[in-house]
Amino acid sequence: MAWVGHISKGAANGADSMVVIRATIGIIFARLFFFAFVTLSFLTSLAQDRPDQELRFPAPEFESGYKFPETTIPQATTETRQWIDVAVFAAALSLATWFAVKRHSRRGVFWLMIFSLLYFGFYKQGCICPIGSIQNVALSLFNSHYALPVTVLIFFVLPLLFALVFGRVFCASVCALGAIQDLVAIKPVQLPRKITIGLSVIPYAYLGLAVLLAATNTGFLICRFDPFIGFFRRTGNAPYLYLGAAFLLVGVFIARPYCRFFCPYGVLLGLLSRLSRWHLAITPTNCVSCRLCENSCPFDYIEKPNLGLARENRQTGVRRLGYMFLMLPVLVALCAWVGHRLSIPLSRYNSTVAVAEQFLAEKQNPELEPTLETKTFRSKGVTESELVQNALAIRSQMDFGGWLVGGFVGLVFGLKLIGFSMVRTQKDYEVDRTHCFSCARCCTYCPNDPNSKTAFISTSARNLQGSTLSSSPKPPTPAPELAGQI
Amino acid sequence: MRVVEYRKNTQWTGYRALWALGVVAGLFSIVVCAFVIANNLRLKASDPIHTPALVRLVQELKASPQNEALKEQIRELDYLARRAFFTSEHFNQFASWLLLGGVAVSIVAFKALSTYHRQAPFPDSQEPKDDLTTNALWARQSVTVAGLILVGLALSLALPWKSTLDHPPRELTVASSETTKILAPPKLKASMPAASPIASREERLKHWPGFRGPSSGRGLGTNLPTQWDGNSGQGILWKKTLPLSGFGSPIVWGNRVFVSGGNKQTRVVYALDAESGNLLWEKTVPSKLNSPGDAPEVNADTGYAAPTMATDGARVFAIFATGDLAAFDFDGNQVWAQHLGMPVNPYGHSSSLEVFEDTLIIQFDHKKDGFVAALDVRTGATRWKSERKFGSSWSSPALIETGGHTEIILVAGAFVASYDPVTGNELWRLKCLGEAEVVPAPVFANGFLYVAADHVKFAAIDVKTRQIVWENNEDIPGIGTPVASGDFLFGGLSEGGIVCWDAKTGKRLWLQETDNAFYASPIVVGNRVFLPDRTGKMFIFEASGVAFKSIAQPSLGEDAVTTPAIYGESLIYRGAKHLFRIGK
Repeated sequence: MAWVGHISKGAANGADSMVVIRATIGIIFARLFFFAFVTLSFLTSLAQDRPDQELRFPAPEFESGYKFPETTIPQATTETRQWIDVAVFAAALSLATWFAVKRHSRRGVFWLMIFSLLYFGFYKQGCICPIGSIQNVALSLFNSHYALPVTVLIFFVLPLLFALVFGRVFCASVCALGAIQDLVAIKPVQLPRKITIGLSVIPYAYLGLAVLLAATNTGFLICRFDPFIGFFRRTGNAPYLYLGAAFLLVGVFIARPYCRFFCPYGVLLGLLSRLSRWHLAITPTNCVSCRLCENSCPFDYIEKPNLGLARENRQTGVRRLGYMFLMLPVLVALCAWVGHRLSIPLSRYNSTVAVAEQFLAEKQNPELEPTLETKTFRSKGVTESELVQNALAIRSQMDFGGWLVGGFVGLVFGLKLIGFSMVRTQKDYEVDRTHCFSCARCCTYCPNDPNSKTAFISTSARNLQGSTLSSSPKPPTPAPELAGQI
Repeated sequence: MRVVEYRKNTQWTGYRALWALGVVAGLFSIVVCAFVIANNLRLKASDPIHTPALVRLVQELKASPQNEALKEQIRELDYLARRAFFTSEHFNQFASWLLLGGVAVSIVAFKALSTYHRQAPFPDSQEPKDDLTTNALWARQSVTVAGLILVGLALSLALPWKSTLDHPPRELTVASSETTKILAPPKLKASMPAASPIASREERLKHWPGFRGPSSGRGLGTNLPTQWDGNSGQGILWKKTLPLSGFGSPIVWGNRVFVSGGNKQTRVVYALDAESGNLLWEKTVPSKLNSPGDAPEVNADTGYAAPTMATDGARVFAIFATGDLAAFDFDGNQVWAQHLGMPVNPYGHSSSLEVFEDTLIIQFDHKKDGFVAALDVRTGATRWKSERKFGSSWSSPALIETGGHTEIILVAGAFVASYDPVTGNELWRLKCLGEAEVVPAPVFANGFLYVAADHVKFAAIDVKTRQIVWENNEDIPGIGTPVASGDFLFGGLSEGGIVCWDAKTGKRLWLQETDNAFYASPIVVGNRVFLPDRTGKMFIFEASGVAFKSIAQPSLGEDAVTTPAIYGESLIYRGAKHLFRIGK
C-alpha cells in the first residue's frame, strides 16, 4: 500500500509506527482467520470415512467372512439447494455491483471475493460455474437429448446481463477462479503490451474449441482443463494439479493469468461489458489527469489520454484500413480452412471416433493387439458399420464445426487488426471496458472519488485542478482509513 | 511516472518475523510438496492386489481350493498389501493439507510484506511519450505473430495427421441391413473354454441347466427329501447367505451351483460348491450404466436379478434388469459380456435364458426395441436376431420338439409365436390371449402347448393344427409356470390355491385352497409334485388327478419365490435371504 511506505518515512514517529503495526497485524489476523477456516473445513472432511477407497479393489476370491462395505452413492443436489445457490449467486453479483460501481470500495470487493472463493470455490467445489456452463449451453443447443437445467442457464446468463449493464462485476468478486488468483497476486508486474495483446487472442480460440467439443458431445474441455478445480475439490489428477500450481505461481507476478489470457467466458463478458451503461469509472466526476491511477491496475487495463499526441498521416491510415477490410474475408477463409483441418485430430477426442479408428487399425493390421476400448466395444454387440458410421457422422459434425470455429477465430484476428488500425481519441484516464475486472483498485487512487475515502491525495489533487499535467504535485498525505486495501 | 522512494524500516521486529514466517512456511511447503510428489509416484507404481507373491499364492489356491492354510496366508498378505497402499494414500491426503497450510501462511506473510513495501504513486513532470503510430504498429504485429503461432501450431498438428477413418472400408460406410455383421469377438485366451464341447441333450438331462431344469419342470430322483425345517436346520445340508438378493432360481451343473443377484448398484453371479456350499467365486457383471441412477426402476417383486441363469455345460449366462448380459466360464473368467439395451418394462426384465445347441436364446420383449436373438455361446456374437413388436412380456422361452425339429415358443401380449432356433425365422404365430401381461412360460406336453396370462386366459394349443383346443377363464396360473405330468397339469395360483387340470380338456379336476399365494413354478419328480408358496412352505403332493393328496409340507423358514433345482437326491432351493441345500 502506498501510504505505508509514506508513513514509514517517519519511522521515528512513534504514533505513526503504531498505526502501521496495528494495520499490518490486522491484515495478518484477518487472512490467518480465512486460511484457518479453510484448513479446518478440510480437516473436518478428512475425518469422515472414505468407504469409496475400500471399493477400489475386488474382495478376496473366496469366502472369508469379508464384510462388503456399503456402496455409497453421492446424493444428487436437491432442487432447493440449486435455487439457494442461484439466490446466493444473484446476491453476490448485486453486492459486487454495489461495491464496485456504486461504492468504489476495494475493501468490499475484496471481502466479497473471499466469500465467493469459500462458497463457490471450496464449498460448492467450483461447480456449477458460469465459465463451464458455456459448454452446457452449447451442448443443449446442438443436442436435443440434453436438457439444460434452468439453474445452469441462470448461472450462464446472469453474469452476462450484469456485464451488459454494469461491466464485469462477476470477475471482480464472484468468480472463484478469479478470486484464488487475485489472492496470490503478491508482486504483480506489468507485462509489455506486445505480449498481453498477443496473448489476448487465446481466449477466443479456447472458447471456439470448447463450444465445438461440447456441441459434438465430445467432452467439456473447460472443465477438464480447469486448473483450480483440483484445489477446490482437494483431489485431482497430478498433471492438472501441477497446472493449477503453475498458474498460481505465475500469478504471483502476473496477476490473474488465467482470467486474462485463457478464460473463454471472459470473451463473452468483455463483448457485453464494452456496451455497459454504468461501468465502473476511475473517477465519478471529471478526471484531473493527476496520473495517480496510471499504474494502479495490475492488469494494465487503464487507458491513458492521447490528446495532443502525434498521429499517423490520415491518408496512410485510411489506406491501411482499406487493406485490412479487404484482407478480412481472406483471413476468415484461411482460418476456417485451418479449423477444418484441425477438426480431424480434434475428433479423436471423441470416444466413438477413437474406438472406430483403433478398430479399423486393428482390422487393417491383424498383428495389433486389441485395446481395452476395442474389446469393450466388441462386447457391446454393436456392428462394425454402426461404429464406423457413427464415427464418420461425428467427424462430419466436427468438420462443419471446425470451419465455423476457424472462421470465428479468423474474424477475431481480422477485427483486432482493424481495431489496432483505428486510434480512438482518449481524453481522460479510463478503464478498458472490455477487459476491466471492476476490481476497484484504481478507484482508491482517484482524488475526486467521494466514496473511496482517498482523502490523502485530495488535497494534492485539488492543487492540481486547473494546473497543467506537467505540474509537479507534492507527495500526497496518506489516510489511515486505507488500511487493509490491497 | 516515478514513485517516491521512502526508507523502509526493515529492522522492525514485526517485519523480520513476517519475513522469517514466510520463508519457513515456503520451505516447509517445498519439502512437503516433494514428499507428496514422491509418494504419488510410488502409489502410481503400486499394485497391491497383483504383487507377485499374492498372484503366486492365488494360483496355488486354484490348484487346491480347499487349502485353508493357504487361504489364511493369502488373506494376511492381501490385508497387508492393501493396508500399506491405503496408509500411503492417507499420508498423501494429510500432506496435501499441510502443503495447503504452508502455502497459505507463506502467501499471507509475503503479501503483508508486499503491502508494507508498496510505494505511493507520485507523478513526475514528464509528459507521456507514447507514439500512437508505433503503438498501433506493434499491436498489429503482436496480433499477427500470435495468429501465425496459433495457425502454425494447428497446422503442424493437423497436416501430418492420418486417420484410419480417412478411407474406411466401403462395406462399412453403407447402411446396414438385417444381416448386419456383428463385430467379431476378441481373441479368446487359450484358457477360455472356446473349444469346449457343447453338451449333448442326454448330458443336459443329468443336470439342472436352466429355468425349470432340462425337461420342463420334470426332474430325476428317487429319494428326494420331504421333511426339513429351515429354522431348526433339520434336513438342511448347508445354508449359505448371498450378499445380493435375486428372484432367479438356482441352476446346477456337475457339482456347481450358480445363481445371480443384483441391485441398482451392481449385478453379480455366484458360483458355489454344491457339496459344501462354499462360495467358489463371485463376479460382478460389467454394466453400461454410467451410474446406478441410470438403472431402470423395477418392481420390488421382480428386482434386478429375476431371470434364471442358463448353462451350456462350459459357461454360465446371466441377464439382468439393466439389459446387461454376461458369460463366465466355470472358473469365473468372463468370456464375453454385452449390453442388450435398456429394458423398457413396468416391472423389470424377468425372462430367463435358454440354451439351444451352441446358442443362447434371449427373449427381450419390451415396450420398444423388442427382439428374440440367438447368441453364440462361445463368443457372444449374434447368430440371428428377430424383431418383436408384441409389447412387454415376463415369460420365458420354451424349446419344444415337434416332428423331429425344435421350435422356440415365446408368449407376449396376445400372441404365441414360434421361431426356428437355427435361422430365427418366425414359423407361426397365434393370437389367443388378448392383451395380457404374461408371466408363465409356455408348457409343452402331449402335443399341446399350454399358455396362460393372469386374469385373462389359460389355453391349450395343438401345435400341429395351431388351433386352440381349450381355454379357461378361471383358475389361471398367473405367475408360476404349471407343470405337466401324464394327463394332468399342476400349478399354483397367484392369489392362492393349488389346481389340477385335465391336460386334454382343461377341466379343473381339483382345487386345494391354501393360505398363501404361489409365485414359484412346480416341479415333478416321479409321482410327486413340489410346489413352494411365497412363505417358503413346500407343498409336496401326489401327481394325481383324483384329489389333492398331500405328502408333506415342510417349511424353509423364510419367503421363497423360486423354483428348486435338483442335485442328486437333494434340492437346491433359494429363499429370500439364503441358498439351501436340502437333503438327507
